[in-house]
Amino acid sequence: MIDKSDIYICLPAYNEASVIGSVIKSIHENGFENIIVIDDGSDDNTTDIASTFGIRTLKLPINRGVGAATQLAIEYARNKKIQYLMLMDADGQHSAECLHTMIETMRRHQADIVIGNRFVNEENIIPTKRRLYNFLANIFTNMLVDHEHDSQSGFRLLNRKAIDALNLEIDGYGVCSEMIWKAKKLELNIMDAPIKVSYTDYSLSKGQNFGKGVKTALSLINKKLKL
Amino acid sequence: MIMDIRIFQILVSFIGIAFVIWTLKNIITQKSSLKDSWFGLILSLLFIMLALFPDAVSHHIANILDFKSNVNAILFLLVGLLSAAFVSTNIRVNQQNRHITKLSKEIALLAEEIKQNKTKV
Repeated sequence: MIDKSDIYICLPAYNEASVIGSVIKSIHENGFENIIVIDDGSDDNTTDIASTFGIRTLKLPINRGVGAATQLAIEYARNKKIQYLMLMDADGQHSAECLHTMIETMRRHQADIVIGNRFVNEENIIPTKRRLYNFLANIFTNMLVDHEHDSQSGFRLLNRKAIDALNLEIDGYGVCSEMIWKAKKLELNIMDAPIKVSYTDYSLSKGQNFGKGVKTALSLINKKLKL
Repeated sequence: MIMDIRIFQILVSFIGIAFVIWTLKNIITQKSSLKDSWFGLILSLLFIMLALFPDAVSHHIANILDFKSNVNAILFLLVGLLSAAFVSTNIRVNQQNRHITKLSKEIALLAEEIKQNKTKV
């Protein structure tokens, strides 16, 4: 049995002032109280808005990328001996209702990491561009380990074992693949859970683009050479 | 023997000497170290030598590297030197990036701890 009070939902956020409030509200509405916002050096008032909800905020002094924010979340969870860490995008694309599915998958399969899979639920309308980026990123991820699913999903649940074991190094989007590589190397049990996503013009403007894709690919090649 | 000096020889050697003097001044006044400046110094000296004695130096380099054409030897040498400089700069930038991320994370964790302690008080 996984208790809701043991789960900390972590939202890595960069300039998300316009949506962070509604994301926090939707998480609260689903019965989760422990929320941490990792502000990745935003220029807007993301932290101030998050603070009005009485939740914890950690702010990186400069923008270092989603990978650095994820590393910070894991380090914080490790220091505070948090049992379960849920990573969720702060741009509103992930549905908070799926938090229950993620937890249930972890419980049922005794998984160490659960990754939200956007491609299982047929109701999800995923833009072709996103499908293409994911396809290419999967190729890079599969160069080292066999992981055929949604390697780039930012919706992830980690248990204490994974929190203690993972030592991530990539600052940018490459962290998604790096986590899978390292988890497989550490023989952690990774499971997928179907999730609902809704892409808006706003969330599409925040994610991967061609330039970021190339940067991610280079960081993955660099990391692969070191592994 | 009358030496036919061309404008580029004066210009390149003048810029090269100025750069060497400026670099040495920085090393003496401890604004930079020899460790950080040696590559620039060697490259400047090479350019000065090439400008002053283009045929002799390029012929010598071509002989050492076993190139038939002097120009190809010079190009090969410069591409090699610049590639080495690029790779070493890239390694340094990556190292610095890692340090910056590590420091940023530590600052964020410390700031949160201070905030929590203040709340407790």
